[in-house]
Amino acid sequence: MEFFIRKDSIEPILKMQLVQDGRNDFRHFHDKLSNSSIYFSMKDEKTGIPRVLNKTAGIVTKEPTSVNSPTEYYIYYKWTKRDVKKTGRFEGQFIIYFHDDSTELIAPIRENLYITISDSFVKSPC
Amino acid sequence: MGTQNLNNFYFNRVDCKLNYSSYYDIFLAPDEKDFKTDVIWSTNIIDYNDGSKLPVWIDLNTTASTQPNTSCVFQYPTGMTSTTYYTNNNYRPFVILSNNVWPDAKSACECPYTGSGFTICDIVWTGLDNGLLNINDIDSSTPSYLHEYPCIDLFNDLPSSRKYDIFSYDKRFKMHQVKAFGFPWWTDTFYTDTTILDATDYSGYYQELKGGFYQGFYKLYGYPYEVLPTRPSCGWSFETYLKINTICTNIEGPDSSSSPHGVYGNCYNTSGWYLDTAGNGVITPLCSENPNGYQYDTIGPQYTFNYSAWNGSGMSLGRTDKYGFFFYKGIRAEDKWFHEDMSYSAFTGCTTLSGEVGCCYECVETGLTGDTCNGPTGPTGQTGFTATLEDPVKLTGENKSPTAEHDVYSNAIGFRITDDMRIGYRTIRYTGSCQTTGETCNTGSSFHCGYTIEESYSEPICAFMTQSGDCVSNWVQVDVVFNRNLCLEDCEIHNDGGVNDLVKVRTDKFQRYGRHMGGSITPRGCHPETPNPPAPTCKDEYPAFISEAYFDFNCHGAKVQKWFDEKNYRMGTLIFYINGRRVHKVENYEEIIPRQLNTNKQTQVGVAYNMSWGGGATGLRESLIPDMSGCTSGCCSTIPYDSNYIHWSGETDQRLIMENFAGSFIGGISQMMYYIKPLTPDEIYHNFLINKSRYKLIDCEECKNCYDGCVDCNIENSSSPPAC
Repeated sequence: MEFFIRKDSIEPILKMQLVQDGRNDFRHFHDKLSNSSIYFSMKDEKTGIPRVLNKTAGIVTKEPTSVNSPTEYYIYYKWTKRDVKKTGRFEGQFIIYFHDDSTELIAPIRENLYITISDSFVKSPC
Repeated sequence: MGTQNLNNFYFNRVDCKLNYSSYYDIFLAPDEKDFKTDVIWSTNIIDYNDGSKLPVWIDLNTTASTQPNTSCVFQYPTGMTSTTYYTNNNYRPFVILSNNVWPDAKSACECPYTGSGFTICDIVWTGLDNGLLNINDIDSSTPSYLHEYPCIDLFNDLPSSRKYDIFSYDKRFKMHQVKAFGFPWWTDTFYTDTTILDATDYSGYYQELKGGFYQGFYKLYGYPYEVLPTRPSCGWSFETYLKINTICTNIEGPDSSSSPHGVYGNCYNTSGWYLDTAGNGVITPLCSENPNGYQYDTIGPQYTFNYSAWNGSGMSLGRTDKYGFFFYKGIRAEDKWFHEDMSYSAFTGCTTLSGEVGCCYECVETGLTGDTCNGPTGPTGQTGFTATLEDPVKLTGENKSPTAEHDVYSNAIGFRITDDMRIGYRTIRYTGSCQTTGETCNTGSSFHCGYTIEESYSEPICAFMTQSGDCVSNWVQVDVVFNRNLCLEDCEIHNDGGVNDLVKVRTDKFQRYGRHMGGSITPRGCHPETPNPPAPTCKDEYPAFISEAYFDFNCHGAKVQKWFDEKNYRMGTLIFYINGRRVHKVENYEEIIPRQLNTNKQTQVGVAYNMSWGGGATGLRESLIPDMSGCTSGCCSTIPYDSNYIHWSGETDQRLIMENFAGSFIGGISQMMYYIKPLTPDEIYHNFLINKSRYKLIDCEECKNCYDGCVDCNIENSSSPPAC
C-alpha cells in the first residue's frame, strides 16, 4: 500500500479501514474499536530510523449510508508539521489496544504500508 | 438421489479450517470526506453552534449561562424569619440558561398573532412544589391573566431584563434551582437544604452542589411552549462535567455492615455522607447549620434529600438509596390533584383559574352585533364574536389514570453515580406480560400489568483515580448515550412505539381526529386538524387532554396491548462513558419517552417534561396545598391567593418519585450538554480532548497500567485532603 503526501503538508490525513472480506465479524471489530487506544509509528524504509513513534492516532465515524446502518470507523492519523518535514519513503504501522478485552493488534498485517513524502516547491505565505 | 451408505463414504470424515472471524486487517481508505471531519479538525466541542443537534449547552463559566452570585448568606434562612426568606429576592432560586436554541422550538403562539407573549397563571397549582414559586409570590398576586406574577410569561425572545427571571421563558432551555419550601414552611426550620454555592478552581467558575440541584421543564403540555423534542429521531446524549468530591484520605469502607452503600475503599463520595474512622457519621458542610459541627448525631442528615425520606407522617432520617443523581428526565412529580378529596372533601368542586385566552385570542361566535373580537393585541374587527377566556376545570379528581402511579410508569429515569463509584440508571418501568396460567393471552385474562424498578450499574469507574489513593477532588466527563435501534421520522416518532399508542380519543370526538378505514374523511396525519375547525388551535397539539382524549391504561384494552406490541420501536442501547471511555453498556434497553400527565393541562403546568441537572426529582415530598380544614362552604373562593398552605406529601400512590428519585449529587458541576442525537464514541472522545486541559482530565483506560508516571496521568490537581 502506498500513501503519498507532500513535504510540509498535513493533508491528506492517513486513513485506514477494515478489510471486509466477508469472513470476519466486522461489527464486533468496530465495537471493539470504539473503546480502544491507537498509536501510529513510522520509520525510514532504508535506515530504519523512526520518524514517528507511538503518536496518538484515533478513530472517526464513517458517514452512514442510511440512518439505520451500523456504525463503522476509520482509523486515522493526523499529521503534524514535524512528521512531514523530511522527504523520503517510510513504513508505517498502527498498534491498537482494545480496552474491552485487553488485547492489542498491530496492523496492517498482510501488506506493508509505505508512506512517500515527496518534495514540494510551494511555501506557506504565512 | 440414491440411498447413502456411511460405509461407502470415501472422503475425510474429520476436517478443520481456519476461523477468520477474529482476523482483522486494515488497508488504506479512499480520499473521500465521508467521515465526521469535526472529530479531526474542530477546536470546539461537537456541534457547538448547531442547535438542531445540540440544543442545550450550559456552561457555568460563561455569563451567557449564569450569573455567579451564590453564597451561604442567601441560601438558607438560618436565624432569619420565614417572611424575609420569602420576600428577599436574593433568596430566589438561581436560574441558568442554555447558550443554544433548538431551531424548531416554540415559546409563543404560531397562528396569526401579534401579541408580545403568552401568560400561564395556573402555575400556582404546582409551582410551589419545587420552589419555582414561594408563598409570598402567591399572597401578593391577584388572579388575573394580565398580572405579571406569579404567572409564567412566554416570549419569542426574552427581554434582557428577564433573562434570568424565573417566571419568564423563551426558546432557550431554562433551569432553576430546586427549593424545598414544604416541610415545615411556617417555622424558621427549613428542613431540607438545597444549597448551591459559588466555587472556582483551575477550570474556572463552577458551582458546588450541597443538597441543591437544577430543574427545568422543556415543554408545557397544552400551551405553546416546547423547546426540546420529546422523542429525538435516533436517540439522545447527555454530557456533563462533574467534580467528584473527596472526603478524607483514610476511610475504609463499607461504612456500615447493615448498609450496602459505602465508600468501598475509595475516598470519593457523591452522597455527602460517610462514617469517619471513629464511626461517626459526617455530612458535607451545609449552609443550614453552624459550620463548626456537622456530626450526624447532633444535627443530622435531615437537612438533605439524601438522608431523609417521607414515611407518610414525617421524615425518616438515615441513609437512603436515592442519592447521587446527576441527570433526570421525565415527570417531576405525580399528579398532586389526583384524589378527589385530598384529605379535605372541601376541594371537591374547586376549579382552576379562569383568565387565559388561547392562542390567536380565539374568537367565539356570540351572534351579538355588539360583540367585536379584538383581544388586547390580537385580531380585530370580528363582529359577532368575542374573545373568551378559557373555562376553568375541576382541580381534583380529573386524572384518567387508574392510580396516580400510572403517570410515572415509563415516564421517569434518573442517572447516578453511587458512593462506590459505579455509574448507572434507575427507571420505573411499565410492565405487561402474559402469566403462565395455561390460558392464552388472546383471552386477555392472563395478561397482567404493573411496574418494576429497573436499574443497572457499571463496575467502579476510573479505578486509576478512585482507587489510586491520592484522594484529590477531580473532574470527570460523564456521557450517557441512548441509541435507538431504529431511527424514526415524522409521524413514526409519535406512532411507532410512541405515546400515541396509549392515547384513546373519546368516541364522540373520534370523527375530528381520525377516520375509519374506508371512510370519506381524509386522514389528518399525526397532527390532526379539522377541515373547518370550529375554533383555531395551535398546531402540533394532541387532542386536548382530557376533554377529548386521554391515556388509556386498561391493561386488557387495545391501547395498552399496542404499547407492548410495539416495544421493538423503543429498543436500543444505553451507553455510559467516563472521560471519553465506555464503562457500561446496556443492551436491549427500552426507551423512556416522557409524556404529560393524564389530566387537564391547567393542573400539570411544569410537572411533566422535566430535566434535572445535579439531582433527581422531589416528587410531592415538598408539596404544599391550601389549608381547607374546617371549611364547609365557599372554600374554593379563597384559594389559591388567600389561603394558608400546609404540607402535602401525597397518598400512597403518589410517592414513587420521592421514594426513588428525591436525591442529589453532592459535588461540583460545570457544564451540561444535551444532544438530540446519539453521540458516537469518537465524538465523545473529541469532546474529552477539547476539555482535557481545562478540567485536567485523565484517560482512565490508558492510565490504568501507568501508575509509575505517564505524563498525561498525573493527578495533581490540588492538595490532598486531611486524614479523617
